[in-house]
Amino acid sequence: MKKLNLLILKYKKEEFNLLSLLEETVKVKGFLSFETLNYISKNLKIPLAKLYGMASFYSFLPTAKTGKYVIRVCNSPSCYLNGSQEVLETLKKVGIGVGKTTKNGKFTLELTSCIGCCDSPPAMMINNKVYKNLDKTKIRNIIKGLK
Amino acid sequence: MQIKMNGKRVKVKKGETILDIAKRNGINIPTLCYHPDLKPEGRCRICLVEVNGKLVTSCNTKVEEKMEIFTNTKRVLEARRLNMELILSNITYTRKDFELIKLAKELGIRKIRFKKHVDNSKGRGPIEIDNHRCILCGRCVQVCQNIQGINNIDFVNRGIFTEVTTPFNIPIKDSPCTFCGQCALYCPENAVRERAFSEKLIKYVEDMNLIKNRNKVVIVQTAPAVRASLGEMFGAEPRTLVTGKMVAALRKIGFDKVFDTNFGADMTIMEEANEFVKSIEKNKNLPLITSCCPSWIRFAEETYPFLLKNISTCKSPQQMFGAIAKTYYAKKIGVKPEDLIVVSIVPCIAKKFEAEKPEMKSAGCNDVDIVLTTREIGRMIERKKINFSKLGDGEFDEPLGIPSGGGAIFGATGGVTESVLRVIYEIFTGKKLKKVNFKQVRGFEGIRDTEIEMGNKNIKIAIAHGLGNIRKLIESGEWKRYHFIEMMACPGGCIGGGGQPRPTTWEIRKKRIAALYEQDKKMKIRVASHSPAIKETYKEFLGKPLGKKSEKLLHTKYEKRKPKYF
Repeated sequence: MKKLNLLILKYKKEEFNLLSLLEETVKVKGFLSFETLNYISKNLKIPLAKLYGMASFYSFLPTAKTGKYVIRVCNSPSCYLNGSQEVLETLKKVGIGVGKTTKNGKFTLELTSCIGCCDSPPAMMINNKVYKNLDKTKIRNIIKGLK
Repeated sequence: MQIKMNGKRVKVKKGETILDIAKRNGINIPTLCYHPDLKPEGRCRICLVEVNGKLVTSCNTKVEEKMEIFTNTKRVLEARRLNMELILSNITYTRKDFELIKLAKELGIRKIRFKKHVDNSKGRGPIEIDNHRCILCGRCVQVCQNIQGINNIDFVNRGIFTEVTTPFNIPIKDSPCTFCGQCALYCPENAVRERAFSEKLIKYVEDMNLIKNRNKVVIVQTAPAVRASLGEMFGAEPRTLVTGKMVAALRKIGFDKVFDTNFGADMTIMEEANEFVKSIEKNKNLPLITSCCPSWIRFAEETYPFLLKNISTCKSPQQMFGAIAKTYYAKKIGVKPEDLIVVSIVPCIAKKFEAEKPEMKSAGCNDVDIVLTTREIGRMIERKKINFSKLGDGEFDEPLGIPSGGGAIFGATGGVTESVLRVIYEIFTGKKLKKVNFKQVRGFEGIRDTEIEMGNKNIKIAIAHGLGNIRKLIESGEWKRYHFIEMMACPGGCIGGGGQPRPTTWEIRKKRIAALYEQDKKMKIRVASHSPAIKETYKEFLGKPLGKKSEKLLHTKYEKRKPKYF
């Protein structure tokens, strides 16, 4: 809460920049819960609907609790055509479903728009690390390595 | 400045949009998300035109020097049609009298080539948003944010998953929504709409025999604003009053008695005027704020609890009528209150919520059982295959159906104030009122104020309509300066209510208001306290205004409420 208050103070003074406020809040809080967004909305006098609309627009601003590792599989055209669906299937076989968090709270799987790896598709991100040119064995190894 | 439109030279002013110019020159450009009351956003892309070889939206493109505009080239028509098809692919079900389908026909679309993507419908609260029908035109979002200032809904998610909803998908009844229903009024597709009050009960109303077998009596009350707008659903001009036809249609549907909520309104005036006189004399709890609007009451209970002591304790006309019907009238005709079913027809969605409030039970059961909006009753008349425009004139039943002109103007902004003024004039001065019209309080500005001298008193009055204006009036602190304030949540008052026929624009609102004032002009009794029906009810049953019985039946209490999630 202290950190959040500091953030709000900072953005009250600065030229207002909603997106980076939300990004920094995610860093502090992990995700944007109802309580967090409501708190920001009350303190900065921005409608909650607007904040939620914004948060739900960007896949990098989670609005529900995420696992320790957030897997984001690119679903834009060049990855899609080069087998992003197979990536999702492989992940499902390992026990990670789209839009879900595993029961042990370790993995969350989401789809995302282009992450700038069109030269080496299909690609995904796990937290802040990018993995390119994925295939079945590669994915299994990556997930094993994280377990 | 001069531009070329479809090959002709046209004179234009700076700042005008292409659509404005086309309208002025009699050129038809189809529009969908555009609405004269709202800021054009260019969201639906139906109003495309070709400007110097480029396709642009005409609703929000301003004219510039050397523009050459074509409004109906092949390219334009094809683009419009493609966009319409894509919009139609988003919805599953529609009716042919909604704006969207009319427009699709106009554009010559018969078949939709694309498959549907979004499939997530959620219904909750007195208002529901049906994503099967939503085309994301954004009118509801704009009304909620810019006109009403509640900011409860917005676009959520991205791309084909976009939908209009509340933050975190909280049920609407638990959100700060006030149920004003303006979002539903502006919707071109009935995607945002009133929840049917209770489907089972509506079936009862439609099939009257079911109830008659059970020895129930079904009575109906119609609100002041309904008669000025119901005709629009059957092709009448917005200024026509359809009082007689409406009564006849209701009888044809099968209601046992048809009464006038104006009677309830008269009673509200009596109680409120006397309450006002009392607080002026004691100089306590001033200003007195009106309480007829359930949406405003919910707004105050949630957002401005410090105002609650100033709000008149009177129930709204609908609830007063319900309370009187279930006690006085039920006794008079010898029916148990549970067997008397009170249906009310209102221009309002918040009234549905009000009728369900637990404190509105003066005879042990709900005072008002079923609330239908103008749109709902219009559709019901249609379904019953009643030829509305050819009906003769029916008349209201006695004794709860004989109103004064004071009750008649309740539906317009400033109407409540004017009716109250008519009554208190006689109380303050002791003289008979000669000039009945208080034109100072009429008008259309969002916040108006005036001062009126009565006897030795100088009464300061303010009138606000539209929740955005109400918020402005309260948050500026100006409200403390007045003695009497009228608050109405919908722009224009009840005639612009959330349950009224679509489309509703400022032009149409003005016409409906004019119709109400004309009706008032024609009435013999203009002051509520002169009405024989009111006099009789007080003599036979209630005693006097603010007496013990009326205090119990016609007044209510307010409490601070918090939306469940906030």
